Amino acid sequence: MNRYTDEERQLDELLRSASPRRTVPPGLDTRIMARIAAHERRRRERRAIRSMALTCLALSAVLAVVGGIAVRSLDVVHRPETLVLLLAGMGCMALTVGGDRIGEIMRRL
Amino acid sequence: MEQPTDNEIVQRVAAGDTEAFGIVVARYSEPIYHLVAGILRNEARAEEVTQETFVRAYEHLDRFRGGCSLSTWLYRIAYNRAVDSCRRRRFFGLLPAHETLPEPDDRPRYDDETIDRMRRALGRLAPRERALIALFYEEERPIAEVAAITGLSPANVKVKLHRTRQLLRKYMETQ
Repeated sequence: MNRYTDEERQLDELLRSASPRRTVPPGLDTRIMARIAAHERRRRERRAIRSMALTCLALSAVLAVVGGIAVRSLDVVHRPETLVLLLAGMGCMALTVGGDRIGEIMRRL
Repeated sequence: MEQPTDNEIVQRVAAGDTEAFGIVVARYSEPIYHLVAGILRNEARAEEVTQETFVRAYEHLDRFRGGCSLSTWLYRIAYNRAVDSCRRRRFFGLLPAHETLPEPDDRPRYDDETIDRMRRALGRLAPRERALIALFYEEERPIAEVAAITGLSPANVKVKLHRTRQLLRKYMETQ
């Protein structure tokens, strides 16, 4: 059973007439895609930083372990000067392997 | 050439093909913009919310499970964002009594004054009521889809539409 009254039907028609025919602003699709591209770029950058930070962390852990073993194996007489050399060597190695990554992280942050 | 289906596009985007999302944008930007503009009644903000809708959809595309159509899912995001935007503006007291109205259209059946009164009455509705009107009358979505988008039951949508019509009639009489 149709319970729609004439008055209601009239209101429906008026509502449809009053609903404007809007035109979509030109270039809307392009602007949406530009925002999505920017969002994607930021996401990739964040992911790259995360991966570089993880690499640096792993490298530090390896160096700490190797350094620890080396220090324990030093003979007592020549310990201070050998320790300095060892630390300098480890520092150089860390900078050679992870320096560019550390620099990149600092630059992006 | 055959156009890819929505589900195929979703799979392509999930596989890393960002450009494929352009097809979704091209397919749905217009209806989404119309819905948002119908709720917000402001062209500039409608564009902003439309852009946000698609960025959010892209961001959370992995959450789209295919339980409803992609268009319904997009409409739901747009609806929530538009209603939120209205609420925020109302909260901060930024909502003017009469927002920018679009150009009058060329449908001749009713005189300009009646249509203008109806538009003013529409402007007095709450965002959620306006969303129902925009979805049902402007976008001509079936009741079931309006229910899926708004999170209401179909029966509730019908009741709310009925009440909104009564409210509009009252607003038009009291102008």
